Amino acid sequence: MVVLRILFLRVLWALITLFAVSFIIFTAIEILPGDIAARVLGRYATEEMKAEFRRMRGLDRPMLVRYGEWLSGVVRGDFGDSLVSEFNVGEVVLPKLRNTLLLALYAFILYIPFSIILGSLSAVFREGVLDTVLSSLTLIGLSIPEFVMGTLLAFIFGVVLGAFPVVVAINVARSFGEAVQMMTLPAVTLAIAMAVYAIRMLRDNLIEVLESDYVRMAILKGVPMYLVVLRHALPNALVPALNVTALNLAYLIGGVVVVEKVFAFPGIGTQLIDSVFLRDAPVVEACALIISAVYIVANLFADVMTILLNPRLRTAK
Amino acid sequence: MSRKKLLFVTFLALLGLVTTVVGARPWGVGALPAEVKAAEPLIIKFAYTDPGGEANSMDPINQPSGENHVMVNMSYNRLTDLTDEFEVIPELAERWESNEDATEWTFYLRKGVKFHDGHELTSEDVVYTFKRLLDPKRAGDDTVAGSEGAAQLAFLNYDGIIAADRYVVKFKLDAPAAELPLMISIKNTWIVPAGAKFADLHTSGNGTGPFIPVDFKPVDSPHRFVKFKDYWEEGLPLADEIHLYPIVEAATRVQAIKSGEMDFVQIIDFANIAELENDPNVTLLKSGPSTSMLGIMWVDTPPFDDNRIRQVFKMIYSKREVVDVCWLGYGVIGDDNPINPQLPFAWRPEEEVPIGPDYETARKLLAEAGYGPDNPLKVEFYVSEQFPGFTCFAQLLQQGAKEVGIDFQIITSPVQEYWDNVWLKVPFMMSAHVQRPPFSGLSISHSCASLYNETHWCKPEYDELLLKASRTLDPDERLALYRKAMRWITEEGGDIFEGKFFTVAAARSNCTGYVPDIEISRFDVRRVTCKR
Repeated sequence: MVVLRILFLRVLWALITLFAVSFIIFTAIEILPGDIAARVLGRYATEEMKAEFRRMRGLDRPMLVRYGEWLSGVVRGDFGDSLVSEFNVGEVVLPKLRNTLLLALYAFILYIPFSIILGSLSAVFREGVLDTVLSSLTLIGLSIPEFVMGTLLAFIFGVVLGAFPVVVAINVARSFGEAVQMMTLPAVTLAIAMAVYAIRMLRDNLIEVLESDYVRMAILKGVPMYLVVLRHALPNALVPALNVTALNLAYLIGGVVVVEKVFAFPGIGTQLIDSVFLRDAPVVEACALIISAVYIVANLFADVMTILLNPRLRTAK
Repeated sequence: MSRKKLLFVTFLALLGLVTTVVGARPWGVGALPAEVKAAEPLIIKFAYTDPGGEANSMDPINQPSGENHVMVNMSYNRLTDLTDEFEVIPELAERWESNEDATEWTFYLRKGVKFHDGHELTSEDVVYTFKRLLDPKRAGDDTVAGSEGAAQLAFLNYDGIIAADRYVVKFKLDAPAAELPLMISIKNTWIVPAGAKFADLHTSGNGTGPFIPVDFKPVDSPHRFVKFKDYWEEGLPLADEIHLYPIVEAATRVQAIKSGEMDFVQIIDFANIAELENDPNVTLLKSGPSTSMLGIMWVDTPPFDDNRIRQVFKMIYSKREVVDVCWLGYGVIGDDNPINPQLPFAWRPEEEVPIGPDYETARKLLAEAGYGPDNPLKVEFYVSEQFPGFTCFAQLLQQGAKEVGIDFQIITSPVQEYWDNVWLKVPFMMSAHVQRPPFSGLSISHSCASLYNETHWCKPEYDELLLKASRTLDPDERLALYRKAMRWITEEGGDIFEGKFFTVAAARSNCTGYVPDIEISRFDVRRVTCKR
């Protein structure tokens, strides 16, 4: 089956890509100006202290040796310890990853119906009042950076209305309901940021499909409009939107630092940035590999879905 | 595969993902044991800035970030504490005395003080703490890279730190130290248990302070601290729990205090003050003059090796304008030397120091030094927005430089890299210091032996002057010597401006007990409380 073969090849390539990514990151941290000892020990550390720190953490050995050691650990499933805090990388990264996944999931659940409904409405009532309003809104949404959007939402719904918290203290949420309520503002911010692309994409594709012969045929046959859209037009218009969605997924995991900062959310983006500043190679590696993996898997998923949704691509060449 | 089947499989996969992620349950894990919960604990939420990331540690020996100071302050005590005017007051030591020539100091410890692990504080703990600060390895701790306070405490004699009795500690010195109680009240001298290593203290701490960290992780939101029931000060601390939230975004801090999600915010940016001033639910709290802002010039490197050029840069801007424009009025001007002119012991010139700018004199000095329209002075000035107003100050200097015909380039560096990539590496840049009393303020970056000699100010006579002052027992005589040093730096040093800004914090109106300290390394929450 062609899908399985594609899957196998892609997974193989993904592993090679991840390996290359890990090496590039390790080298990058090595060449970046400033070093971990200076960052960890602060402004008043002496040269002897820094040298001792490097010796204690084994950083006085050649880079390739350290990379090899780290890699052999990874192969055995051990990502090592943070060079800064000496906590196991899993202990450092996993709670942040869990938070980010929760937020991403919430944002994604909001994003899908939001994009599909608004995109379809825009296309069906194209050039009407609704379409004009939606188009203007998505254009505005495209041009407003997330931190402005987030701050604005936080001000309106957090400060003025008091409906949702502006600081997402997810780690002390007492119940599932409270966690959901806490994450609403950042999730909505992210959903809007992602949906504005998808809505425009979906609208254009749908308009194209709606003007094709088979759709006209369906309409002439007397099929109700909602069924025409749902059953005949949407599945064919979804394919390009799927790729946008795959990119959006990757953004949700790694690119949300700005939104995390606005809502003081303890996620993996902030962890990655902080660790880069500290030059904490093992933690940076773990975060970056997770984000790369999500990126690769999301794209793979989108490709497989595209093939499955489009029967023409299913036969092997 | 049919479309229906595909949708079903996708649905199942998504359901699996939802169950996994939701099943991970971050909520509820923060709940406290039932005994603490019973009486509806008073939880105070505190937002702070400057997170230290994974570098945070509950071991006070090295504290690289503002967040680290905050956490260490909550869990430990020192022998002595300082007021805003650097007056020494008792903390774990009830009283102290010295012999006639200040070569031997005796500290009498408070009795019945408990560490978080339940053992009583004795002189052994104090002796170990100071020995470890001087030389961790020799004191028996091979798990830490070093001690950042060692240089500042180098006047102590390792073998002269003695437990004279269960509650008496003696410091026998090689040379007199007239201000020893002040000199040992630095940001690292928090008392740890005898024998405690970095590996023990790093993740749990163990001090005599009012709060105990719960399940400490270097990076957490929030960091939770609970009241230490056996804390030695009667009736303190007032709060049952303090939760510390790292909030980097200034706008988010403002919203969090306005919405009531936070009870206190440690730092409000000056630009946000107006927004909070008229909010009836928020009280603004202002510290005295705290951290300093200064331009530094290497006095041994052209063109700054010419004192006329140094003087030019000290007079081409208006000191008043720096405070009013860059700090929106929240600060005080400086006298081009490290000591805050508002303090009682500061040197004051007979006539008021000119506020500037004085372009005419500057042009004259430039001409004398050989610079003119055909041969303009060219300089590069490094800056990063470490603290509010830094870039603004650089721009004021640039404007003034333009007036007198100096080609003044500003080079902006990233905040996180500034102290290890720029500081001490370029001859003309912005710097900042916490406020210090004369003995350390005048020596930490101005003595030949200093590791942080940012202006390359090295004059043996100056070092002798400071040494003499530190050994002079008569306070007035000592002050006269320190004032001489201050004046010297003002007139010839490589320090520009050195004004101090205020720290502005915010509290909800129903909350009291927090006073922002002039030292950013001090954080006192013993009396913090809120009416619920």
